[in-house]
Amino acid sequence: MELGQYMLYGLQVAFQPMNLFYCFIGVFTGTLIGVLPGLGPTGTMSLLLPITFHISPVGAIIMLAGIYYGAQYGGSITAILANIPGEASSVMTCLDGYQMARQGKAGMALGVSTIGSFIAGSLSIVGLMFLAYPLAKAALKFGPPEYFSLMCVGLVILTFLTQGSMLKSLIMALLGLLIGLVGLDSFTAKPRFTMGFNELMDGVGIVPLVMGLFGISEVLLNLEGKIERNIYKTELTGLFASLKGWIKAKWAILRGTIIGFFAGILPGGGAVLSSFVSYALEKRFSRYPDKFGTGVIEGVAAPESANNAAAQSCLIPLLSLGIPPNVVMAVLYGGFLIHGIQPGPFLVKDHPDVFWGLVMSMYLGNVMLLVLNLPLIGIWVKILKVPYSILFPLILFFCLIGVYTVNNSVFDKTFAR
Amino acid sequence: MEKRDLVSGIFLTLLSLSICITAYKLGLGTGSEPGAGFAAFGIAAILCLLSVLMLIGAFIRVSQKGKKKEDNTQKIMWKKPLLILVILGAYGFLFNFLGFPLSTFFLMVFLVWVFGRRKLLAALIVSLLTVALSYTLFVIALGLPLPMGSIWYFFGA
Repeated sequence: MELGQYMLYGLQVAFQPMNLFYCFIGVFTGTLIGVLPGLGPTGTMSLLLPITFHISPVGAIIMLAGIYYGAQYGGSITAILANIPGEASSVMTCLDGYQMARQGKAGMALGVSTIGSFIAGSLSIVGLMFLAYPLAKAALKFGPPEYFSLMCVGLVILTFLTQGSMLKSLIMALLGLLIGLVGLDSFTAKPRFTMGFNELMDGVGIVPLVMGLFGISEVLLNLEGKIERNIYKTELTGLFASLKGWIKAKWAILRGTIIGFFAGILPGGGAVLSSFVSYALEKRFSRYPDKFGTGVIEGVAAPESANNAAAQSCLIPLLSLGIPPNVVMAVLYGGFLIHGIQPGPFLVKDHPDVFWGLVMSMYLGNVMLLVLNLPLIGIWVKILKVPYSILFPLILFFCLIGVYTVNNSVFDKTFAR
Repeated sequence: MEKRDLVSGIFLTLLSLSICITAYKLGLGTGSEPGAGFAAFGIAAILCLLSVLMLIGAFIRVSQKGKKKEDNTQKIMWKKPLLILVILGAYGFLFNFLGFPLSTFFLMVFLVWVFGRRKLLAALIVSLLTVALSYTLFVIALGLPLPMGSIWYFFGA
């Protein structure tokens, strides 16, 4: 089949009513957790992994991916209206977005961020389609040495790109490798570092690990300090911005898309890195860099476009090479494995419904997000007012139940904690 | 920050040393026929080296700083998270005995009332709603086999 035929096939899969429903659930949940600070897409995706047992593989993957790119849209609402990044990737949006809200331009900031995200997301999917497919074909020739080299390069780039001390990131990478060694040795069948627990014979499960590292720890970190949410009360008018605003934002959106697309493919990259890089570059190439941080429209358009482009392009290494470039993709990788599907070069050949269904559903997901984030913005603003004192017990509870239901094991639950 | 690095450095050095010893006992094998501890020993040895480097760096920074008082704003408020970890541990421990509905109810009441500092009535309502909705979703809709509790055997159920 040629690319066009595959695309039509993907549309056929994505338009199936149940897949449309799961896509909607995914992007809706993604926007919801994006709006709510204190729960990220990684935690939510791992939380919903056990629930996907009862869903078809295509539906499950469509839903899980929808959470990630949906969260990028939602994060900007909190950043602009409350000056709190709903997601780590929305940190840069706070700088100019909140200032715009204070100047009475909250609607314009939200509009540019949503439409910019839509444009970036859609262009990034086109890039994904044209890059992932040939890359997967080329990767069929890869053997163990090529994969080993790729993983080494991934770890090196990951430690290089990590913010802060490189020594600490190297230490963490080594600790991660050691955690991966827990379980039965594949050559000698000797139990390694299981400490007598039969539950560890298969190794450390990805769901308890991710839930503990990103779900529960996120709550505990928030509880160490005090989360204050001062939502800026303003009229949300002018969502579609003026022509002058669009002229200013269009190049920022385009640059953000390109930067986000390539930053998303990098190991260790993704939405967070891309938004930082694109904001920094936008400021550097601007004619008025000193005005950044005071409510410049490009300061919202660039990082928001970049994080959405990256959220889609980071699927390329996962789908075509079977290598998750960041932790969210690692959870999605877990989602594939739970359903007995191995992401990688054989995915397109063995499960074209999953590959093309997912790709085409992302177009639909972006359209759904556009509707969810522009006319229905008022709902999200109301949800933003849910107090954290009610929210955090619920997050903890869902994390624990999510972990338990994977193997019905209290051991897993205790491990996540 | 330096003190935290110092503690982390000591912990990681000890951890990597203990992994090295365990890996050695598992058997290192040879390059062509690696034993169960081969990879673990190599990784732990590098980890030990890096941890010692971090420890030395932190030690030098601490000694250079002298008796300067550490910034209070950087102090970790560990009591609340630690208490919550204990409560979550108790929840896991009592999960099979009390059952999913009862243990979840108590967990939610405790978290919302004590840590969330909400009124008891609000905590009771939130907890009841959580149990009812999660029961409907997980047990009725998804058919997940969540334990209903062995405590009910004592009441003849």
